[in-house]
Amino acid sequence: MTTSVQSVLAAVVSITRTVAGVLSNPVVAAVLPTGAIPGYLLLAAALAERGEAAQGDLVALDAQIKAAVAQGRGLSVDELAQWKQRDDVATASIATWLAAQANAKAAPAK
Amino acid sequence: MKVISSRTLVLAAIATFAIAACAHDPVADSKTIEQKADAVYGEYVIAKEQVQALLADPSVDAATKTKIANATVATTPAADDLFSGLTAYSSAESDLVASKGTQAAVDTAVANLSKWLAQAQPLVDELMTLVGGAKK
Repeated sequence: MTTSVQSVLAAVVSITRTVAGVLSNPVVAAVLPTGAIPGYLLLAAALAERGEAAQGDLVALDAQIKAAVAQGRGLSVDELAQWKQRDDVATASIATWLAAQANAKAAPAK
Repeated sequence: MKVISSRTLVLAAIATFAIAACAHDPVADSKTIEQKADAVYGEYVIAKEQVQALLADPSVDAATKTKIANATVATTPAADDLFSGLTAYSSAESDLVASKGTQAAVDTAVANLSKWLAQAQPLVDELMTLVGGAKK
């Protein structure tokens, strides 16, 4: 991904967050029938941000695959083990988050 | 992925549209079934890490986070099968090179890997789209 494209993506995320922030302002919200639009935009910005971050990792994965193709093999045992390790970390993190949500729901209301 | 609302998918499509022009595609760059499986598994991990980051983002509401987290968890069995298929293939091939295995064992491993790949790829593509990481 070129630097200029990265800059454009960063600007899109920034502008979206700014617009969402303005719409969240109580005064603006009082005069505009925006309803859930700020939350909607914030989610769009968050997803765009995630997409931007994913691109960096896709570039790295693409480089590993291209090197493997050039050598007529698959990913090395070490490379695959590193992906698996990252998978395990993310799995544990997501499971912990879901468990915390379930516990919060199960806790008696005060 | 039925747990994701159409509204979330529309948002994901918008986010995807914004970044698609500059994306890389490791799956398209791969040539063999093993390389394709490597690429799909890698993409799955990348998408999952973005979900992990999204869960820590205070601007996203808990209900949306829960839907996305559950969608990710639903993809996990297929990705685990894909990883198992990759290690089985790698092991069968190493055994063949070391004259400890047979071509039949490698062929079986390739057939299994192909099956796991066909199962996992559409789910991983959907997950990538969901987190805005779709490719072109």
